[in-house]
Amino acid sequence: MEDPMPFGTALHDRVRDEHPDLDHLVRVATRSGTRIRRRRHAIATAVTASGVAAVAIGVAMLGGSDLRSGGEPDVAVQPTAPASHPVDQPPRTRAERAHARALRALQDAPVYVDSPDWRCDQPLDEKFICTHGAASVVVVWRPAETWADYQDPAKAGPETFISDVHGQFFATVNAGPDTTHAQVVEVGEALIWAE
Amino acid sequence: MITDAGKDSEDFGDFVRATGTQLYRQALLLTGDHHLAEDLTQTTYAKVYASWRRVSRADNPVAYARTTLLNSFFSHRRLRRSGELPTDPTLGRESSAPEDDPETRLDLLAALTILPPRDRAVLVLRYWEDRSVADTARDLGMTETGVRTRSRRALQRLRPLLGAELTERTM
Repeated sequence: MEDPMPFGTALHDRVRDEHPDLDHLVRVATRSGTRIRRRRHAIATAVTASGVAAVAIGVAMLGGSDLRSGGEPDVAVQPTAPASHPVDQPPRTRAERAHARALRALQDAPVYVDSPDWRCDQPLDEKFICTHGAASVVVVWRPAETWADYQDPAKAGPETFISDVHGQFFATVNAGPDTTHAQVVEVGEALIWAE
Repeated sequence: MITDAGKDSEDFGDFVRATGTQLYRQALLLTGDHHLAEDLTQTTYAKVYASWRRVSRADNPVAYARTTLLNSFFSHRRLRRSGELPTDPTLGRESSAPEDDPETRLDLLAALTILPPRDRAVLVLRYWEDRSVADTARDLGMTETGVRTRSRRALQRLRPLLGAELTERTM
């Protein structure tokens, strides 16, 4: 009988013998997923804290009105967020906001990009992606003991930015589509380290 | 005693073992590369695990994982110039060889990579997952007409690589 969908059959035939290492997949996904959870939790905590602080400020301002009318504020008039919280001294410039973002990301990765021009995804499996308009790069952190291998252009590719070793790691930066080598270097020079 | 977290991990492990092969194969067809497929599958399951308590209670966790895979594929592909490497058009002429010929099978993956990612996704959903035009349109956020047009155009582009036998009767 003639196959009514030969292309579909060919696709199935092509991948029929492909079997991933499922135990490895479980291990890596659980580890990376846990990092995502922690990161979300940290962000949620920060957002909640800033919300509390904002409410406290609002209440304080209302209290101020009361005071003008002779009343006494009956709640704390100071924000109750932790002293280190950005609400106390919110980052004002793009560079300051980028720096604060990079410092937060260093909880999940040994390296991150501190640049107001590049927006980076959350680190996953020893790598993360950064974009700037149409340009994009991928940053990968690697074990320090493999650094020497990457000095060979045949291994790393001539356009790859290779950082110095920082503690146990170094990083490589590679260009995505529509990305110049100068942009790769720009990101490489904006790397900050958790050590 | 098994804690909630331990039970979560156990359930998640069972889910990955039950669905991982299928998802990995889909990732392989989408990316055309074993390493990229592995990356994409890992990324997908990491995201699923991050929301596992919610996902595991959903009606269809597999659909959630599949959608996550597609979204991750479209966001990752920006970096993967290699995902659209030009292919030697003469390679596909061997596709009339027996189906279990390894060289022929390599050509099919290579041929898919010449397509734009969205066209590739349309073909994979339609012909590998055997999803309807309507379901494919919904999964990819397209109109049904768009799915039909892309599907036809993609198969036409593959014809010189894979041979009319494989693509024409499908259209």
